[in-house]
Amino acid sequence: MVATITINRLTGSSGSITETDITSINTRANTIDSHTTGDTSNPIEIPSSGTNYSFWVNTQLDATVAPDNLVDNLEWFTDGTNSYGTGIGCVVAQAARASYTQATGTGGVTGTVLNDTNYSGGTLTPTTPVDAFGKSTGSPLAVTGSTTTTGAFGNIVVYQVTVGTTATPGTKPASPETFTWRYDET
Amino acid sequence: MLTWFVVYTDGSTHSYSPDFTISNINVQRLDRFVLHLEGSETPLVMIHFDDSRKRPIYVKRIELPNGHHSFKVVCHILGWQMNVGGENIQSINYTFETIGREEGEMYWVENGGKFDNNRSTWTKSPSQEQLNVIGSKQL
Repeated sequence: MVATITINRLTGSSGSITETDITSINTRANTIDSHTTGDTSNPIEIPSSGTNYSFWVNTQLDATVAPDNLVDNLEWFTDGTNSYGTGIGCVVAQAARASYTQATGTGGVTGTVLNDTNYSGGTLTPTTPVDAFGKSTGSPLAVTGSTTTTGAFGNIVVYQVTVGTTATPGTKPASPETFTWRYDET
Repeated sequence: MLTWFVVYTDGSTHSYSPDFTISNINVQRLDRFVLHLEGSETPLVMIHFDDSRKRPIYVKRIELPNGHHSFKVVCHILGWQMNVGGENIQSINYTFETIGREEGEMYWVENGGKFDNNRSTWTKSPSQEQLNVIGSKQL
């Protein structure tokens, strides 16, 4: 059969991961470890100094119908343009499913910073997440993994919104940022 | 949605099905590879295997729907490769289709030479594992 591939957001504890299909829809990067499309009660607080963060967002592909042969060459990319506005950014990295780490932080204030220490130490690649907007269609994030069967596959792509002191209040951006997955199939 | 069938040198045709995927194609008997709209046998792209040195290539590259558009973009990477005087010659058709586009589906074909990892994301070479699938389980 032609494969059916969905994009899941992963939330919850590592022992009981909740997988929510977010294909074709938006998901909020805010300060709660759950998928929402429009929540405004868990914002990221603009810091008086330093940087605050969203809870990191774990996403992964899932084959609900297996490919005839093989799915590989997984790629993830943005539109290459940061439209969040002044003082706001987004960083991205990848990790094996086995090292899935639940997003944590202080609701309504900030998430825990995404780095190799906080994300199941020693498993995040790269160890310091990079600017997500440096990953565009021509130079995407090459995501490790492939599948010949059903089920979640490939590395988790984990991203986090960063908010600095120069950010301004409100839902950012007005029109959601677009993150895209691409793969090869036979 | 686009699908395909093949015509063998004996004139027999074999359409894609879960029991006949590209891994089942007998590449030694392959005469034509036809990409067409499901429900219509009118070819959108037909590749002739008119030289025994031509080795078929077929892989789909898929962009999933995202927050901006609710349709998939599928690029059917279809063509051939052969070695001529020690040179690796390729001719690749990139046939694009949208799946689920509300305003109506779109199809277009681009053609290029050998895979080029620097030219565009669509002209990047599939993995060797994907290129090896075609004919790997031929009947």
